[in-house]
Amino acid sequence: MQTSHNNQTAIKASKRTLQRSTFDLINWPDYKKSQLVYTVSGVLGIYASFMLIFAWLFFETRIGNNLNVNMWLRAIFLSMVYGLSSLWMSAYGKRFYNHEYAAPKWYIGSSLLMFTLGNILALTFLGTFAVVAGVALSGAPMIGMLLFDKRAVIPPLVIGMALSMLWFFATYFGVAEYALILDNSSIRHENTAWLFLNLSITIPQMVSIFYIAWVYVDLWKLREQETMRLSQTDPLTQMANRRFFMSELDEQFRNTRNHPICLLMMDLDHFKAINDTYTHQVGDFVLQEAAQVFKNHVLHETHLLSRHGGEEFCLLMTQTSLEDAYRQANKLRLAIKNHTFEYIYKGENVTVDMGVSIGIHTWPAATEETSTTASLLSGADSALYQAKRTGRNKVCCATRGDVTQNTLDEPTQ
Amino acid sequence: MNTLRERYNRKIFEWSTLGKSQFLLFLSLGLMSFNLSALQIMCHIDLFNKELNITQTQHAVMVGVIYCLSCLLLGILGWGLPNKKRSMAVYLYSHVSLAVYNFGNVLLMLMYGLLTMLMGVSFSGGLILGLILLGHKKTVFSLCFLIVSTAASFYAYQFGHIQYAYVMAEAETNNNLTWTVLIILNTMPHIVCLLYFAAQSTDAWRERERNIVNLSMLDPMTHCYNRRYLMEQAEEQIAHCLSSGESISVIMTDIDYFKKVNDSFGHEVGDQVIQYIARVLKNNIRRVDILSRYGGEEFCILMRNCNQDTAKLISERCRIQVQYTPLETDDQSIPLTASFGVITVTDEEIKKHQLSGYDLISYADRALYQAKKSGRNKCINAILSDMQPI
Repeated sequence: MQTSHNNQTAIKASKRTLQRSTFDLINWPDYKKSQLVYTVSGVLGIYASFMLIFAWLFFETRIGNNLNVNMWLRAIFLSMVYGLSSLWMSAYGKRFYNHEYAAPKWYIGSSLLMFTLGNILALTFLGTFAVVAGVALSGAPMIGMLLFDKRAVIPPLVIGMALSMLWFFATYFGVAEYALILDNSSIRHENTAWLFLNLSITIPQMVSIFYIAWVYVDLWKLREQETMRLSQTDPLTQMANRRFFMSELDEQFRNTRNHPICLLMMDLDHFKAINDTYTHQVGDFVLQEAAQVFKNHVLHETHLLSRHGGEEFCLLMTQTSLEDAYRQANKLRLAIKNHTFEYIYKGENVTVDMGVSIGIHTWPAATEETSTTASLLSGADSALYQAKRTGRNKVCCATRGDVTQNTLDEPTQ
Repeated sequence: MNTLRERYNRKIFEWSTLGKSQFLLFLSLGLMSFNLSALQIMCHIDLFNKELNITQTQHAVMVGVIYCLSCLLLGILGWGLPNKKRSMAVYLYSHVSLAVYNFGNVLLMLMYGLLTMLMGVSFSGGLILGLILLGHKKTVFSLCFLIVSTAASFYAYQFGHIQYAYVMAEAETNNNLTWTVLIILNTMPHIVCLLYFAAQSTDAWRERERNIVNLSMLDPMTHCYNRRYLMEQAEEQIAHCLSSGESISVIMTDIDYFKKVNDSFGHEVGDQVIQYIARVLKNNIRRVDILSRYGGEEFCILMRNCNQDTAKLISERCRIQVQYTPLETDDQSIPLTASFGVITVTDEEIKKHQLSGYDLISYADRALYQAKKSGRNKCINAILSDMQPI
């Protein structure tokens, strides 16, 4: 029980670090992201209609006949309708809450389309090549790629392109005015109302897009780091796992050709007996305790401790001489020997006595035949085997290809 | 040359900061030279040159050529820099290249008018690609640069230092074909580039993440699931079982006398044995079952929608397969057997005893213990009502 909870809390804790940030955009289901897009476009639409009213009140009297008042009123009405319908669509998404996996595709697909349509609406009033056109054709699809997938972007992109092209031809051949809200004779960039509207409509749009992209990319990076960490640790003991250890060993082998590398292989003695006499719960507990003891006694930052599998642990020490490695190994052995493993099993206090056998191999060895990681590992393994065979709870070193027991004198305790 | 090829043969998303900065420089070089050649050609076509201010166009082209040359020089300079992560030179270089890229956008805005599509593209698309490729610190720098230079040019035109759309004869009127063509020619390649690289990067990122997630679920040696994933799945399956009313089975397996194999043949053969057993088990369970390596030589199989008979059948099949196919190594064949503990629970039992995923596994473990005690190479089907509560 105890081990399970430790394990589970570790997993939950790692999830919590991800959710701590402002809003957990990256783990939202697709329908919720679409709701966000609908909400943003709805709010922007309503905001745009207010800006139109504001500009009308302030600039109409001053510039007089430069504005097309009929179209201005229509623009206010249309952007209000657009904003409210977007907000309604966002609220509509609530019904997918209970079966989020089955949110229909049209709902997700049309959210980006709605955003683009808002931009197209704005560009009919402000001019085909106004700033909104740039946002519609580059910013909106990129947000779509981030939030959903590159395929989700195709319909809004194609429809947006087609509509803006259509509108361009309509204005070019005189079917409609270039910028609907302006009077035909006015020069656009000298019209303060137009300048004001252009900026006040597009700046919030850009800011919201930029903010969403920012949060999403940051969360994405965070999540990637977290999953990377999970893929490199052993779930039970929270130390490096075999995969990470092997890649690190390869790396060390390639990079530090001139420095000695020592590899310690440690195996808990008679661990099998614990699993069999008590249960696996006790076994797991012992493994966790032993891992903690190892962690407490490996102080050097560059030394890598890993659980290699079962009850086997490995310690990789770079830039360490054989003597130092031997001293370190003995320190670990004594630490395990002196540690009391206490566990409550079936209401009784159980104290387990553990020993550890350690095999050491070093590179470059006296002979150059240990030139691969595999031979380094198998050398350490055979040293470990030697330690096991000659009575356990001891340290053995492998040199010159064969195993000699206790090449160094055992230091006094 | 080899290092160069190594640097560029992957997706842009995986390039180093130096490579990305160089990419930005060459992108702006390409866009600007495209613009300049289009402009130069249009000066010689009667249809367009009426609407252009030829002297001012020549000034703009000169500035543009200087801009292109500096892009080229800076881009070439990039190959001389050390390709290291934390180098001051690379840090400066990347900021300079960002500034150059954004300055190119501002130049175009000055030529064809500020409040056009050009502004939309550089302020939304360009910045988002920056976020994806370079992270938010550098993007905020480039945003600040963009805002300052755009504001400066806005004021320059507002106070009459410079004409609104510099190269146009008559500042933007309706139905101005030249202006329209130039705007389209200048934005479309930019948009296509931005979208293409954004799509490539997000794809690469999604794929990389999928790979890492797979790695964090799998046991490195046997490539079956690891214990972390098993525990997560066990809780999920229990929730599923409660809603659907199906029963769940858990099989716990342990290789008999594995220690002996390990001691007499060495750890390497021991690893081979574990991999071999994992393969055998994988071949004999259903596709929906979750096979995971629980500990050293123990495996746990989580089976959804599986009643007692099916679980019995599958565990017996696995046991026989293990027993009758010894592991063939290079020089010997090692006979192996395994013991199996099986537990099947229904949704009512889960509700009644408030079972967790860990409880299920411990019951199966106890059944395995019984199998071990009663002579190994056996399957024991435990019944929940016979067992003591945990």
